[in-house]
Amino acid sequence: MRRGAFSKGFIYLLLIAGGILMLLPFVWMISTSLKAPNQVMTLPPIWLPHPIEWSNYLHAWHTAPFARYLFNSIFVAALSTLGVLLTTILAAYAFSQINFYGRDVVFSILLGTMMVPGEILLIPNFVTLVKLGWIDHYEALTVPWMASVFAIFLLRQFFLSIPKELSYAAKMDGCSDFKYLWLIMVPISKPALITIALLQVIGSWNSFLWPLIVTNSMTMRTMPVGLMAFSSEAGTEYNLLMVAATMVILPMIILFIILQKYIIEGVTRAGIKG
Amino acid sequence: MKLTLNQLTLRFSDVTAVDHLSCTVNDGEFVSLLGPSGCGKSSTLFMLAGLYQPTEGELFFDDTKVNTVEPEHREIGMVFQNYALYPHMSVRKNIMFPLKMKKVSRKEANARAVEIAELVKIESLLERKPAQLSGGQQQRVAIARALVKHPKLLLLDEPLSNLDARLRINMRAEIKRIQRQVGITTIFVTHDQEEALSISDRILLMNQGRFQQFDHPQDVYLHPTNRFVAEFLGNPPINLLPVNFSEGTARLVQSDKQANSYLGVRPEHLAVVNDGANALRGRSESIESVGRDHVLTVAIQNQKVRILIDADQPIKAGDMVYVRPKPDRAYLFDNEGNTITAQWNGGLTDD
Ligand SMILES: Nc1ncnc2c1ncn2[C@@H]1O[C@H](COP(=O)(O)OP(=O)(O)OP(=O)(O)O)[C@@H](O)[C@H]1O
Ligand SMILES: [Mg+2]
Repeated sequence: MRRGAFSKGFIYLLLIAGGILMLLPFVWMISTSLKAPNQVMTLPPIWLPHPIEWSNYLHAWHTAPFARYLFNSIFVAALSTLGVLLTTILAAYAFSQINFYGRDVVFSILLGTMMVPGEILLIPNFVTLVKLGWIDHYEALTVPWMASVFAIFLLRQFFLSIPKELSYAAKMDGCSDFKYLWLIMVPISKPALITIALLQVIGSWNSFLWPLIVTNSMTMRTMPVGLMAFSSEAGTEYNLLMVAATMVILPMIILFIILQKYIIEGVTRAGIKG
Repeated sequence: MKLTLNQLTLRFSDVTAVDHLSCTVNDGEFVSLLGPSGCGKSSTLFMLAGLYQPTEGELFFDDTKVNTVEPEHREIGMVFQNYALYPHMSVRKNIMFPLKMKKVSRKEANARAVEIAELVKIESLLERKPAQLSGGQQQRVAIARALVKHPKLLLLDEPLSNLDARLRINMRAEIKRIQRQVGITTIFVTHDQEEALSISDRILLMNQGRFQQFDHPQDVYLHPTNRFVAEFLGNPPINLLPVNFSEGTARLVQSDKQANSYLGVRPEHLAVVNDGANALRGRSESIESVGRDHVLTVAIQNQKVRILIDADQPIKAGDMVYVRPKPDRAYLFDNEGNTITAQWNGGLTDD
């Protein structure tokens, strides 16, 4: 028993050390974002800035159109997430409940596309968007992300675990297939749907390469792209750079704190992706 | 509502689940559908419900042919083996759901849900979610949801099989009470003979998709139409002895090959007697107590026979005894398993 307590203590010690190691960069980022320029590069490093320069935030906010970037990021994340939820629900329903000819073959092919690395699709997708005239429009930022094979797979598995009797019961109760999907299956699948939505929001928020490629004008930039642009503009003003970085990360941290339970559940459920 | 099945058949790609089933169920009757696993009970029920389309045959509710009528227009309530409650809805919402689908006003739907909840005695559980209920309570909710539309036919697919033994007996009585109170025609699927014998007005016995017998519980038990029915009912099971039957006398034979028929006698219809007239001689092997009953096993030639005896009967293992069946409670089956109606005068020998 004592030995158990000892090894447990040791494990916790390791975990705490790991946790601190992971947190340090974030702490450093926030601390730097609140420093006066002359405190940024001192040796030994200053961990707690004094005085705290809240004005850095105001300054950075006005130096680049962060309000616009923020709006774009939120708008794109929300739209693509709604899109993904809609297409996923319909596709998962079809692949799990409807017996159509060639269903399993189509589904296998769909799963197969998951093995194609995203980078390979970059150029063909870009060409398609050019032809559609969508470059530098919101369509380019959202529409290509409105379907996710992984999400369909996840939800299909969830739908398959719903007992068939439930659909029979609904049918006896006079519930059409369409109503059954929205009134019964979707509410039951809430945990899976939250997982899908979260993965999508996080993915969309963090995506950098794609928005960089398909947008040109400043007004279409999302936060990560804006951050890069800002880093070349702000040059060596590290405190302002850290302000911008904090602004990019903060919404995700808040989201994480609120929805921690679902995210952990989701990443575990997702298993192969994270 | 009267129910008529006429040569009802259901074929899946490689199996015939229900094979030319015909019968008539009277209005208000409680009928059990009984048979071994895989005999087509659920399939029959699902055809009544409209969830499966019959491959052949006709189905009438009263005098209307309903083969192609959609489930929701058949005025049926159904309870599934796993209850199939909507897990995200409260009990109240579950019960109200069928009414909501029928666009009954919220107020009326609620009133009817409460009324039916009182009938099945779950009025204190209305705000709970199904996961917060015991099996028996979920069962009641499922029955309430099935009855709230005031259907004309209630279908129950093995509703008691997920409950423990004691609760099962309680719920059995409850289902019967509710059915009486509502007066609804009910089809109850089960593979538990005791359940069927205790609860039904009539029992419909099936085997391998085929009709076997449709009669009152006492009659299927005491007057089986064939060997399958005789063997399926009764615990301990009926004794079957290979015999040669001719001129009113059955002669016990050594092997199935020599037999032209089988004599079936239930353990409770065999008596240990003192004289050898129309009786079989054998050696008592063992006496087992199963609850209240005492089961004596007797070896007669190479056959083993089980007899229900009184506790005070002075028989020990190893005794030589005579065993005589009650003539009017013994059945003769031919090699195909059909009951031989020829008169048997009780004549029985073992040499
Ligand atoms: N959807 C289906 N597809 C193919 N065969 C089926 C299907 N449903 C049932 N069967 C077959 O039809 C036969 C009857 O099945 P059914 O479910 O009606 O039996 P049951 O009497 O209800 O059995 P149990 O007591 O095990 O529930 C079985 O042989 C079964 O394998
Ligand atoms: Mg069944």
